[in-house]
Amino acid sequence: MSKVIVFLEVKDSEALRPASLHAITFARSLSQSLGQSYSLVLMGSDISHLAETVRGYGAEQVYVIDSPVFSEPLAENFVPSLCRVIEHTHASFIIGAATAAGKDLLPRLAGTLASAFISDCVGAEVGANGILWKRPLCAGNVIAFCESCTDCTVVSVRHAEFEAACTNGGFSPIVLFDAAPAEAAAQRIQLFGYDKLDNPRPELTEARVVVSGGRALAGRFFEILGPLADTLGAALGATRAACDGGFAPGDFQVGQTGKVVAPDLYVAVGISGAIQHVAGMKGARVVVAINSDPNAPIVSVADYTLVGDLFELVPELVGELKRHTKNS
Amino acid sequence: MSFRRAQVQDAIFVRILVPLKLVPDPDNANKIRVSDDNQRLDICSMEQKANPFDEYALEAALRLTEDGRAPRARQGEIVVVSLGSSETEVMLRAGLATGADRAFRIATSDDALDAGRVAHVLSRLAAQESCDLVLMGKQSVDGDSNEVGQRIAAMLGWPQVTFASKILAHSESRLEVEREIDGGIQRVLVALPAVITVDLRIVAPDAVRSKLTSEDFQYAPGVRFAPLPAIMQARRKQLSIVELDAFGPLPKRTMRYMRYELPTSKAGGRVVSTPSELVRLLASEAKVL
Ligand SMILES: Cc1cc2nc3c(=O)[nH]c(=O)nc-3n(C[C@H](O)[C@H](O)[C@H](O)COP(=O)(O)OP(=O)(O)OC[C@H]3O[C@@H](n4cnc5c(N)ncnc54)[C@H](O)[C@@H]3O)c2cc1C
Ligand SMILES: Nc1ncnc2c1ncn2[C@@H]1O[C@H](COP(=O)(O)O)[C@@H](O)[C@H]1O
Repeated sequence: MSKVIVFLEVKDSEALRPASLHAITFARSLSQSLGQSYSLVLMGSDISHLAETVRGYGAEQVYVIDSPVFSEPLAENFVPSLCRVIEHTHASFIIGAATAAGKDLLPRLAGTLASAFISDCVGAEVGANGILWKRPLCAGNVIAFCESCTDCTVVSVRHAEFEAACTNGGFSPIVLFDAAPAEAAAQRIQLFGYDKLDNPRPELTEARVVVSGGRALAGRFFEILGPLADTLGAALGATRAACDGGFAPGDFQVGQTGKVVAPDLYVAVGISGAIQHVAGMKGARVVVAINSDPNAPIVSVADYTLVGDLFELVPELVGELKRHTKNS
Repeated sequence: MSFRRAQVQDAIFVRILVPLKLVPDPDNANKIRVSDDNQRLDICSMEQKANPFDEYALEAALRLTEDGRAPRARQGEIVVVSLGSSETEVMLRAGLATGADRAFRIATSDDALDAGRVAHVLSRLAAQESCDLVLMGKQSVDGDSNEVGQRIAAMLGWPQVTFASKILAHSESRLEVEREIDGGIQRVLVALPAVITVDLRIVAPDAVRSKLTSEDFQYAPGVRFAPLPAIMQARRKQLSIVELDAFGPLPKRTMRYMRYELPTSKAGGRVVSTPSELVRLLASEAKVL
């Protein structure tokens, strides 16, 4: 049985979160280095229809737990069932994407198991003396290598750092599992509502191009950045200042304490480049900055900088991009 | 050392534990260096500050135990705690000055700690002090782990509400909390005792409201600062120093840092004069269009 299991996240009982496919890539390379197989765990309410779609990812087994217990996506409901799978498989490594749900659930699982938790993992070195887990510290200004001291290790993967797994043929067997009852604590917490953000653009952590805006955009955030994002097929991101100011939803925040992105192209518009922001975007392959201040810290992170007023430069850039697409 | 919970007629007295961690100045995180043998972080020359998320948690605890219009009278008790060296005492005193009632320092060096041990000590302290709520930062900005709160909740078997951006008290023991999650805002109702970890927006003007605070009241954004008389008074408040193993034998370590490196920085870029030149370079040189 697999030593490595991957917790797959389901979004609104409808679809697999793409972030989970990035976590599979990490799990695959880890299990390869260990000479092991890996298995997948799919949990949710009314999710059996998703089981078929995850059979092609080369897992030794796909564990499916379909139960109304999971209709409220709360950690207290998921942890006991995950523990049951771990007990059954004797898994040593429990891996999930560092999404909001993963960051909520996986450390509680580690607490329950009294296990190590490797947060925001960006790599693993498998050597003769065991595994060194690689993770950024201090807003990405330090890279640390750490060792787990417990039998089980729970890992959240910084999914933007890994490609999405492709199906590689195969047809993993499905193992149906009964859900364990929720923790007693679940009786003291209740889902009360969900204000889903209406965002027609690609998801930040998945997009190949990200356009982000800062405080300088103020009330014209969407008016100015919307056309640029749409021309580039980009996701929209923002700084803390833009989110706190109410110019962009909190879900857009890129940074140390927001989302971490690693697109091919990141366009930072009216963003100063504070340490906490840079922590979330310095993995981008190409960075463009548009700023009126040639000495803003973002300029030293950018590959290309346009110096000037964003309210003039961005519409001009949109025009140039459209012309370029038409001509090529 | 433990205090009996006061029952004031029908109003239940809420006791909140707020952990505070001392971290190297986050705005200078890019000045951190690594020792030649890669075994240690060199932060000696850096100023130490309270973890910003913990300051936000303390502000939230203050707002939850007061009427926003008359913030002097506290309905409940706030206990602040830090695990660390004597250097943490300045931060604890500052917490007392802004309105916390009592403080604990758990005497230890950071080397002896990991998240499992911090959570062990904090959960034992919460139980010993009969706390109804552990209100804390979602992550420390040096370790960036985002795990201690969830571990405490698991250890105590309490519900957890992570990444809270809004807290409204329905009663002394029932809170409505908004969480910032991927794709939107989730609203939960939680009955105490519970663990809540806070996100950045928890210090917005209308983010936290106690039962006493009227609906139209707006706080000044951010955290409050202590007035001078409060700083003087705080010297008389109780700060207890407790040994690390006072809560029973420490659990086995869960993980250990073995080596540190600095990330490679990429070469500087260049200034481009016009949008059309930028598009040309993005297409022909960077090949991203
Ligand atoms: C605990 C903590 C966590 C944090 N986490 C995050 C995080 O995750 N993500 C994050 O982003 N921040 C985070 N921050 C905040 C961070 O420190 C900065 O305050 C923030 O990133 C600044 O946002 P900004 O660049 O939009 O605003 P500013 O720093 O105000 O910069 C605005 C920029 O716009 C430029 N500008 C102004 N007008 C124009 C114009 N007309 N045309 C062109 N340019 C113009 C200015 O030159 C300036 O560079 C955190 C802070 C703390 C304390
Ligand atoms: N040494 C410490 N002393 C007090 N609180 C701590 C300590 N370490 C972590 N914490 C608390 O745990 C929270 C989450 O930290 P972490 O899981 O390390 O990111 C912090 O915001 C603090 O509230």
